Amino acid sequence: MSGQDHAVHETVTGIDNRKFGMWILIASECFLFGTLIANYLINKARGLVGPTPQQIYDIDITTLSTFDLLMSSVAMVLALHGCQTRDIKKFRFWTGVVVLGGLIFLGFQYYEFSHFLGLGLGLTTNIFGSSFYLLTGCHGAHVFFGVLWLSSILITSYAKGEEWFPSMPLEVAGLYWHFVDVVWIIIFTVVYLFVFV
Amino acid sequence: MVKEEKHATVKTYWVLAVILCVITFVEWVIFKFEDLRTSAAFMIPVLSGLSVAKFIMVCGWYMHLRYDHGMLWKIFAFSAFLATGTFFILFLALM
Repeated sequence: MSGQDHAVHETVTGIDNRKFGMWILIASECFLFGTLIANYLINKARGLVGPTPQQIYDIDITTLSTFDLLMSSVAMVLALHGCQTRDIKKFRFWTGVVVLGGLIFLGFQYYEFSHFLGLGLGLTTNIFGSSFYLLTGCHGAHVFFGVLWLSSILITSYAKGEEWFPSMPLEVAGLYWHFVDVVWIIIFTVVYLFVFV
Repeated sequence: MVKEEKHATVKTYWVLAVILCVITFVEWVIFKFEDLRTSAAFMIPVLSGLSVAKFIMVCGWYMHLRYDHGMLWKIFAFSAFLATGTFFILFLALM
């Protein structure tokens, strides 16, 4: 299959304003997560009381949730491809898969947070807990917003019928979703895999 | 007047998906070796490299930066550079 082409309206920048705006948002979000990750790394070993990251992290579960989020990114590009090629079944199916992937990720996060609370790590237990919940909770809130956004596109698709193909809105939502995935790629490595370093 | 955009093919998306899964699996396997996971000299360069590879694949192909307007790539690279700089300044100042 050859590369797919599609047209966008010309603007001053040559880029659709909605897409340009999303990239500006993503640029600002880089600072947010960069600061939160730095905050976590500075404070993770400064807790005066336990539990510590080494005692509570479950890398097997986190690896599964990472697989889930990566696969939801694949579903996202396939949903966009379906939308751009005006294949309504493909567009709806893969958008639904992205939403499901996001919900499964949030389920993993709910399980992880519940498990950690059970082990005695609350938001105010120690500075490690505060910085951990701030970082991963902020990321989880982004996933939750992405799920709401993509769900609204999916519901609107059923409401507007089979001739509605929102290529640009879906592409903008997709950029947001992929960015959330990219942030998790960094968190998975820096927060979880470097836990013993 | 319109401007044409090109995207990767569906086959490329699936190939990248497999590579992303394999890299994540390799990261998990590396972590399972107790001697390796405590070695900063090994873990930091190797896992950072794998993480950067995944980062580039998602940004370049899934986010279409490889095919999109050059300005978007520059905006993202500049902000990522500044965010990384902010990260290191905070880290070095407060550690």
